[in-house]
Amino acid sequence: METPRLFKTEAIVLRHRPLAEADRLVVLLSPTHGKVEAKAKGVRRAKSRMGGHLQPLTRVLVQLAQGHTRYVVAGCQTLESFPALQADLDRLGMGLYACELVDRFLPPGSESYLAYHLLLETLRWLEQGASPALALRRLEARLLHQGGFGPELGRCLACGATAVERGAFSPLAGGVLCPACAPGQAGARPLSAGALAALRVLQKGPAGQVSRLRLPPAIAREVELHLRAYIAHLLEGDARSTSFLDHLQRQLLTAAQEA
Amino acid sequence: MQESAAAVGPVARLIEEFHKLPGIGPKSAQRLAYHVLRAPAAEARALADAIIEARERVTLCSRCQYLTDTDPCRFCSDPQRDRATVCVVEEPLDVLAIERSGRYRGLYHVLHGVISPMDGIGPEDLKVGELLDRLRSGEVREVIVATNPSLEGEATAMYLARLLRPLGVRVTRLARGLPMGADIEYADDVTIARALEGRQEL
Ligand SMILES: [Zn+2]
Ligand SMILES: [Zn+2]
Repeated sequence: METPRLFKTEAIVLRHRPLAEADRLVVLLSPTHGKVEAKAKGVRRAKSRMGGHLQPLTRVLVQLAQGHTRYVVAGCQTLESFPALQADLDRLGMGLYACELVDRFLPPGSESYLAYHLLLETLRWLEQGASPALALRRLEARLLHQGGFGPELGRCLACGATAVERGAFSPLAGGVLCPACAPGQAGARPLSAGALAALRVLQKGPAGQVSRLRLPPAIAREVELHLRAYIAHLLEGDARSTSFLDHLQRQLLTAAQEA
Repeated sequence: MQESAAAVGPVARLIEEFHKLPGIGPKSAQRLAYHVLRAPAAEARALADAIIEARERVTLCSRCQYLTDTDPCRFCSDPQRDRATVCVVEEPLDVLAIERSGRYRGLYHVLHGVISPMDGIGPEDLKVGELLDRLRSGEVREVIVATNPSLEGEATAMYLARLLRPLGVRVTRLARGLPMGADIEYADDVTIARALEGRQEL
């Protein structure tokens, strides 16, 4: 009565949670099949051969069968496991944040090709290790832009002026405001010329240009805060995994102070 | 779910309550509810009493956070156990699994969860502060991190290693006898014993 439809796809494991009977639910991001939820049977048992492949932050080749209510993982092999990222707590936290963002900004059933490759590039960047924070800023700016979430960085959202070089950033308005329009706008924060230029490169610049960005710490911090405020506005709250990243950051600061 | 919707009053409420339990779907909830209703009255009352008594008498051990009806618990108050070693686990059930292996004579510390950033669960949501307090006494020389070999378990182990190393405690991790993805709760005694013996410095 149940006609199992089988298909094979590569995918990145975005997240998982335990189900009853040592099963696990895995949320997979496929470049061709969108975001797919699947049940992995018995993977919490020590004898399971599949469990190790289906951890988040792993790129896998999976065979999925249409089950009763959701897909069931019929077979799985690891294509890429990002060992350096997995072994470093800070980068691991960042990788999980990247997965959460993609998960939350990609509605079920939506086209996933660009988001998949953006996430894969981000994880490879984090794996390789240099300037990991920049990898996250790029992911944030591009993911939102690709998904049609903005922010508008090209013209003033109040008067339409196109030659804006600085002014204010307003999550509520959805992007930049020129210096003339900025005063009095709710939730608008000052936006420096350096931060605006960086945001534009992060949002649309080619990968090579982004990786060559050398942002002074103050500009990097400003860009981070603007993007964070914008994401919090869209998600109606911070991404869940930012609290862990903040915790690690605070710990690092205390350790530095004590040393 | 249609049947439980058709059930009325107390029956529906009972099904509803069973359904809230972990791993119990709507079908199982109905089966349990009708079992309780068909069982002799004394048996049903015994179940209800057991739930109430456990809830009222069982608390968390103030030292290791294990479930107990005496404080400190039977492990923490046992003079035969090695007080210099503390095995950190995610859940109370993991204590039982490690005890079954018969190879461990130290004390425990139950975190009651695991760091899971994507679910918004961080160290401050676990019994980590309580572990730090225990270590300040200086009695503990080794902490064996026996969280599950999952992504979250590994993250928690790395976090604890970073946190505890400056205190001068030896921090070790269960050996890879347990494959990635497996839960300690479901592991057999031999696997656990082997993982304990082969533990490695974090
Ligand atoms: Zn304007
Ligand atoms: Zn105790």
